[in-house]
Amino acid sequence: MTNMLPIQVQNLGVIYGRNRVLRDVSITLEPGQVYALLGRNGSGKTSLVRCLLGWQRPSEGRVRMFGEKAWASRHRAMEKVGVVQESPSIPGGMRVSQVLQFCSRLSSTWDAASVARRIERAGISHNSMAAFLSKGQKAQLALALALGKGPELLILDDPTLGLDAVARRAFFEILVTELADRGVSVFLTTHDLSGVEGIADRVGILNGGRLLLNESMESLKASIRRLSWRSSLEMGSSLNGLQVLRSTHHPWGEEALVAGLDEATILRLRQTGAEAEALDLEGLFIAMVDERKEVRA
Amino acid sequence: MKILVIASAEWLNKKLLFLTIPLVWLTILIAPMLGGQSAESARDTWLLIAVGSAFPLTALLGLIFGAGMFGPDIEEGRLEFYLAQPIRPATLFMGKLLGTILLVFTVGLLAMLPALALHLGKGNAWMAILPLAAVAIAAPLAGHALSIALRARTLWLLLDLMGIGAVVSAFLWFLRWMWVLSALQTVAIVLAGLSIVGLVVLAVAGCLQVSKGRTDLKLGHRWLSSVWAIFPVMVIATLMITQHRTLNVEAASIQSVWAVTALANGPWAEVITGAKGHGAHLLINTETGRGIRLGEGPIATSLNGKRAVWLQAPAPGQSTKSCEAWVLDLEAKDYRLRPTGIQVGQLNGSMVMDAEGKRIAMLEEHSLLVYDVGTGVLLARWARDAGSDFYTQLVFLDADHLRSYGHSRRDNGKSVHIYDLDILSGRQAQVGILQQGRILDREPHADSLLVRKGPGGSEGLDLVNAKSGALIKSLVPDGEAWALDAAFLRDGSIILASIGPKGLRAHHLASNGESLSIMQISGVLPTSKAQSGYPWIGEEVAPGKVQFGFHSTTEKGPNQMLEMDLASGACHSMPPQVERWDFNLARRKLMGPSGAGSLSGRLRISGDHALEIMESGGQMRRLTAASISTP
Repeated sequence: MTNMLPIQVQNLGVIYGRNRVLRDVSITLEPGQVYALLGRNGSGKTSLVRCLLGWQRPSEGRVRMFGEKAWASRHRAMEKVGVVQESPSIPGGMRVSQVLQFCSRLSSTWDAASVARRIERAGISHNSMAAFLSKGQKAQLALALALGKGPELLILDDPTLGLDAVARRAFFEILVTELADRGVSVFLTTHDLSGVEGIADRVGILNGGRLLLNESMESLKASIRRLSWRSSLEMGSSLNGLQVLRSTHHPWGEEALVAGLDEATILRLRQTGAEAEALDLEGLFIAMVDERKEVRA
Repeated sequence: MKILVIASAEWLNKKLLFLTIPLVWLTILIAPMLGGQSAESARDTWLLIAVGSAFPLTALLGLIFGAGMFGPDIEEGRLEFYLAQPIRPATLFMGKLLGTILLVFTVGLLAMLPALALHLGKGNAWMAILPLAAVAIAAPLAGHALSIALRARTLWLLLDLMGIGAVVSAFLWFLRWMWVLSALQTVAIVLAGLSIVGLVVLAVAGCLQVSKGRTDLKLGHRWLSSVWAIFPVMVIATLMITQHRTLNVEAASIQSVWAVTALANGPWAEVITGAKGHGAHLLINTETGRGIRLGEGPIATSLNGKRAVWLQAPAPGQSTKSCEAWVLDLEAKDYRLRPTGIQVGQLNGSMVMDAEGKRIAMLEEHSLLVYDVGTGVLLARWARDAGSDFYTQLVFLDADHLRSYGHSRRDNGKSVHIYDLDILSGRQAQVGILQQGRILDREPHADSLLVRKGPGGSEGLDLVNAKSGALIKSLVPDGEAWALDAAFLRDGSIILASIGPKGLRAHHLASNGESLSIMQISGVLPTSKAQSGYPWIGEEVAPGKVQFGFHSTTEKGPNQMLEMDLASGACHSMPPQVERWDFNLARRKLMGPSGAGSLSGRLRISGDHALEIMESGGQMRRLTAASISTP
C-alpha cells in the first residue's frame, strides 16, 4: 500500500459549454477509507468520477490518484484502481472467459483464482457471452474484474443502480467482505443510502454541482441535528453562531439543519424550546437536497 | 505487448466475420462455371474474380470496422471498459487499429487464397498481396476518421472537407502538369510517398483523438481535424516543390541522353533523354547547366536563340482542342514558362517561329494560324480543307511573310506545292511547284533548295528555286548514288555526301551547283551494299570544316563520325560516340543558318549516353551524368 493519498480533488470544476456541472469541489480520501458521495440525478457525481478516472479533462482544479495526475498519468494510476460503472461496458462480443483473459493480460497483479471464485459464487458461466448476462451478473462480473487486479482503490459509480434488492444486497456483501479482508480504499457514488450507511467512513453530498457536505460518518451522526421550533418567535436568535446547513419555514413553525453541535449546545437549544432530532443518512440527504421546501438561510 | 492483447481482443470480438469466407469462395468457384469455360481459362477467371473481389471486400470491411473502432464505443459509452484498464490511450488506439487491419487483411487474403494457390509459380499473382495490405491499412484509418468526423457533428467537419478538397485540387493540378511534362512516373512516386505520409498523419491524428479527446467526441474530433489539417499543407508544399523540380532541371542530374539538337544560335539545346521511366524532352542551357523540362508537345525556337514556344499536349479530361502554348524567354535569369494565352487544337504539322521570336505559325487540322507570341493575338488564319496538302513545312521569310511547302494529296505526295502567305493582308498565293522530291535544306537567303528524289536520294538530287520550284541544276543524276545527303554551308556553297558505285564521296559545290572539288573517303564504307547505310551531314563546325556521319543500317554495323576540311580534303575520325541523332535537323535547316562557331557542331553524346560539349581548346566537358543503365 503506497503512502500517497488514494484521491485528492482540489477545486474541481467541470463546464459543458455554458453549463457549469461542478464548482469548486475538493475531496480527499485517506488510505483504507470508504467515501460515499451522495447526490441527486444530475448533481455532477458521474462527471466527478469521470474526472477522477481520467476519462474526462477537468475544466478547473486538480485531480490526483496516488499522487498521479488523473488525466495525464491515468494508465499508471489504473494499475492500482478497480472500477465498477453504473452500466458496465464490457464488450458484448466476448465470452466471460475471454474478458477475464483480456483483463488478466493487462494487469501485472491479476489474481485469477480469486476472480474465478467470485465468478463461480455469482453463478456466472465462463462460456456465457457478456452481452447475454443479466444486469446483476454484469455488476458482479464488473466487481470481480475490478477486484481481480488486487486494487488499492475501488471506484464505484452507482454500481447498484437498476439492481433488484437481492442483487443489491449481494453486491454490498461482497464489497464488505473485500473491505474487511484487504482494507481497500473505496470511493462510491450511490443512490442506495441504506446500502452504504453501514460501510461508509465519510460522506459527501453533492447538489447543483457544489459539495454541500463533506464529513466523517461519525461526526455526521454526532453533530448534525434537525432542530424545529413551533414559531419564529421561539427560535429567535438561537441559531446565531451555529453552522446552519439549511433553514426552512413551515406553516407549523421553523426548521433548521445544523452541523457542528456538541451535547452542551444541544441542551441549550432544547431550553429555547427546540426539538433536536438525530438523522439517519437518508433523512440527512433528503433534508439537504429537497428543494421543495422553502429555504430561508 | 499490451497492443497485441488489445489487437487480439479486437480480433476475437469480430471473429464471426470469417463465416463469410466460404461464401466468397463459393461465389468465386461458381462464377466461371456459369460461362462454361475451359479448366485453364476458369482458373484465370477464378484469379480475376478472387483478386477483383478481395480488394473491394477488404476496402469495405476496413471502412466498416475502422468506423466501428471507436466511434460507436464513444457514442454509446463503451470505451470506458478499456479506459478502466492500465493502458495508454495511444496503446489502445494502436492495438484496436492493428487488430482491425489484421482482421480485414486476413479476410481479404483468405478470399483470394485458393485462386492464388492455383496460380502458384505462375506469373506474379502473389504480388497482389502487397496492394491488398495497403488497402487493409488505409481503409480502417479512413473509416475511423470518417466515423469520428461524422458522429461529432461539429464545424470542424468543414475544415476536414476543405482539407480533402485542397488535397484533391492540388493533386489534379499536379497530375495535369506531370501529364503534360510526360512525368507520370514522378506522379507514381509522389503518390506512393504522400499516401504513406497520409496514413501516418491519420494514424497520429487517431492516436491524439483518443489520447486527448478520450470519451469526448467533439474534443477528439477537434484534435483529429487539427492534425489532419497538416496533411493538405504538406501535400500542397510537396506537389509544388516536385512540380518545380520536375520542370526546372539541373543538367548534371540528367541521365541517358538519346538525342540532341542545338538551337541555331545561343547556348540552348533541345535534349531527349531515354532513361527507363524517366524519358523527357528538355531545353538545356549548356552554359549554366540548368534547363527546363517540357512535355511531348512541339517546340518552336527563334533563329536568334532568345525565345522558345512550347505547345502543351492536352491533359486528361482536357479537350484536344485546347492545347496551350507557353513561352520561355531563354535570356531571362529564371527560366519560367509563361502562358501565352494561345489555345489551339492538336497540330497537323510543324510549328515554327520567326527569327526574332515574335510570331509563331502552326498548322491545325483545318487551319494555318499565325499568332503574336507576346500578346497571344491571332494575326492570320487560312482555312485548309481535307483535300489540301499534307506534310507541310512552314518557313518564315520575315516577320510578315510565310512560305509553305506542302505535299499534294492528288499525286500521293509526289509533288510539293509552294505558297507565299502575307500575314498582314491575309493573302495567299501559290507561287510554285516541285514536281518531285523531298526538301533537304534551304539556302541561307531562302533563294534555293536542295531536293532529294527517291528513297534516300537514289533517284538523284536537284538544286531548285526556293520560290518557284524550278530546276536550277541537277546535282546528282538518277542512278549515280544509292544514298545521299546534302546541306548548304554558311557561305551559300553546298556540301554533298553520296554512297554509290564509286564508294563514299564528298562533293563541294558552289551555290549555283558548279563543282568545286570531289573527295573520296576511304576506310569508312563497308565493302558490300547489303551492309551499307546512309551518309549524314552534320554541322559546319568552323568555316570550311564539316562533320560527316555514316550510319549503318545493319544492326551491328559501324556508325562513324568524321570531320573534313574542305580546303585540304583532309578527313579525321571523331571520338567514338553513340549515333548523334539530330531529331530536329530538318526543321532547323529550314529555319535558317547557324552563326559561326555555333553550339550545334560542339555537342556530342558519349558512349555512356552523356551529353558532352567541346570547349574552345578542343577538350570535351560533360554536361550530364552517365547512364546508370543501358536504355
